[in-house]
Amino acid sequence: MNVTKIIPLDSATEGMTLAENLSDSRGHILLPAMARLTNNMITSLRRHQIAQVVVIAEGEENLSDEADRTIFLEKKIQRINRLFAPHENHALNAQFKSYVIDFFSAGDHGKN
Amino acid sequence: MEKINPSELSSHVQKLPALSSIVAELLTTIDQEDVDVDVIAKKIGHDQALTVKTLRLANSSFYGMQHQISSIREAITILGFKNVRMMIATSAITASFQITKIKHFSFPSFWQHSIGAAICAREIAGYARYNQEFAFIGGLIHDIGKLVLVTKYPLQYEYALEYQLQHQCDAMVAERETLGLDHSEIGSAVLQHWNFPQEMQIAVAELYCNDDMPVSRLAGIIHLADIFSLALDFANDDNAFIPVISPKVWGEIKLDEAACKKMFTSSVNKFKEMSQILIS
Repeated sequence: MNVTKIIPLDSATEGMTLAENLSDSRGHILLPAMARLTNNMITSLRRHQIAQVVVIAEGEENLSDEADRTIFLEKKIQRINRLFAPHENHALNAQFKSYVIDFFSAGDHGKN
Repeated sequence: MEKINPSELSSHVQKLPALSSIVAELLTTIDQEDVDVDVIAKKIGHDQALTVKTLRLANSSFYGMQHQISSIREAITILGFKNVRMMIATSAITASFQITKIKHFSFPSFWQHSIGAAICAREIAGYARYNQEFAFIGGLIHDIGKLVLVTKYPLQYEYALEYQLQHQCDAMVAERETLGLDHSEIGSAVLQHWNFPQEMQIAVAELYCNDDMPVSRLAGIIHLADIFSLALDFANDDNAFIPVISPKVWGEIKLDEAACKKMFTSSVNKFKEMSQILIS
């Protein structure tokens, strides 16, 4: 499973992989899915007034492999811990945090 | 760092450009289902920027149309009236603030969090049997006070964000400590200036749910939607920290584990589509 994310073009960097076909305002395909971005491509997309791109989330590719999936989940849990850190001692915040961790652990997020 | 002078702030809010008549009119139709699409299409047609945006979106590959869409009426049919209404409201709000670059603040992240909160607010409102479209707009504009801070007080706000990051605290706490006021008060003033429904002005003012004070149903829904959006990490923002969840609001809406997880799934699935519509 590839995890995708939408990022503004300004945040796109060389080496990122497009998760889907990228079209201009008339529907013409500028770049196909799985194209690996280069700096020239990013400059060209800017000229076409593309504001955002859908890329495969870095470090989250090929999650079919169990080990990669575990790494992804560990990073996610670290992130959730940081988000909840200021008030983790509040009972309701702790309860809600456990729902969020369960949700991501179950792996049924990100379906499109 | 100098705190914000309330009378100077009020003058900044009063000087924000008025919303165009089409946006003002669309806002009055938030809770109406039987809107005359022809009338709205005609009004959109009078505004060149909105016309271009609406047609561009209807013709985007996202909707996979085989032929060129050239009429607003047809574009509204493809996109859906509710989506067009949201897109117009968002683009009008975006156009009212000049983008200013400051450390620790990104406009795309701001909108991703706001759209996430709007989607979650609609889900929670459905569960709580509250007007879903109203809740959606409330979620979308709940942080609008931050746009005043970033555009009118860039240096002070950068300091507030730095403080928040260092102390790993809620935005409200950091803003009150460093600026003397917070973005919910400012947001409410902006909505008043733009004649948003009073219920929405009050809800944004009450955003930081304090269990000692009465909180409107809409404020409660937006409070939870803000937390859902932060927890699902739509914006991936380093300055995001989850505030204390109000037990009173949680109890009133009667949320439980199964309901939360169902709403998480639905919100994550809808986020991509809505981002495409609102920040295209």
